[in-house]
Amino acid sequence: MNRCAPATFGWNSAASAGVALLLAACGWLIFVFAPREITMGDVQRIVYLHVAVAWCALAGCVAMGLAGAAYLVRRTPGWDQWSQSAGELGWLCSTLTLATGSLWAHDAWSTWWTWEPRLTATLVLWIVFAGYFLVRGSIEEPRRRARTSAVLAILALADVPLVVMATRWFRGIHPITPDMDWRMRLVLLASVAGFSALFVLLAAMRKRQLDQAEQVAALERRAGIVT
Amino acid sequence: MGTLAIAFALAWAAVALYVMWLGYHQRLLRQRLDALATADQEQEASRSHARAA
Repeated sequence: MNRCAPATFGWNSAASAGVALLLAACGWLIFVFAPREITMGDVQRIVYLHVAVAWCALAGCVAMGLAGAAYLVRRTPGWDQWSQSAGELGWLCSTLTLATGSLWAHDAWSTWWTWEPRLTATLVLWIVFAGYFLVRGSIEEPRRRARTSAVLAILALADVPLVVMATRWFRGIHPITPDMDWRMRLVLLASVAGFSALFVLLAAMRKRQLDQAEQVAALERRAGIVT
Repeated sequence: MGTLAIAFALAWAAVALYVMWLGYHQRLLRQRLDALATADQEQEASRSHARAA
């Protein structure tokens, strides 16, 4: 029974160290290597964080939907656990996307918020994540919860193209893909890679934890312990 | 510079909170495993007691 416990976070120490190194390198690239933008100054560096977390939020939504679809096909709890862990991190990243975007907008547009298409679609994404977890939390029976969540996760995918294409399909003030100095582009790519690595690491840790929780619950049921 | 610092502090605080939340759930999981081990030992003890009697 204790085989679940000792290996809890041991397997990923090398991966954690690698991600920490990658993020430290990203920090150096963002604050030292990237040139200072002429019009906005240092505040422009928020973009390196904002784009990275926005990418992770969208990737989280796609992973949540794909894992949900895989659950509906295979009916194995592992896919539901992947869907949940990707959704949790996607929600966290979409919150950070809205927060960092708002901070940037305050300096660039002199407003914290505007009902601009890209911003509105991102807020819808945040609400969709919130709804997914509200529904998950309200269903007790594990199989019904997994099934309903999987359907919702697939429906949530519909907002992803809206967020991505909002700047092209609708008229708004959100920057599309501005021309950048090659160093800025490099830092942006490194930042996206660094945050993606952190996302994958945390998602894998959470998935493993959910799996262990399920094993412990099964042992408790067998031992007649009610939690 | 203040806005930039707030943005990065916010992001790292969120990541740190998430990791702490994972740690909290891990601790709960460990407590449940300990409870299972104790129940297992008690069952074993009562079984051997019954056998001895």
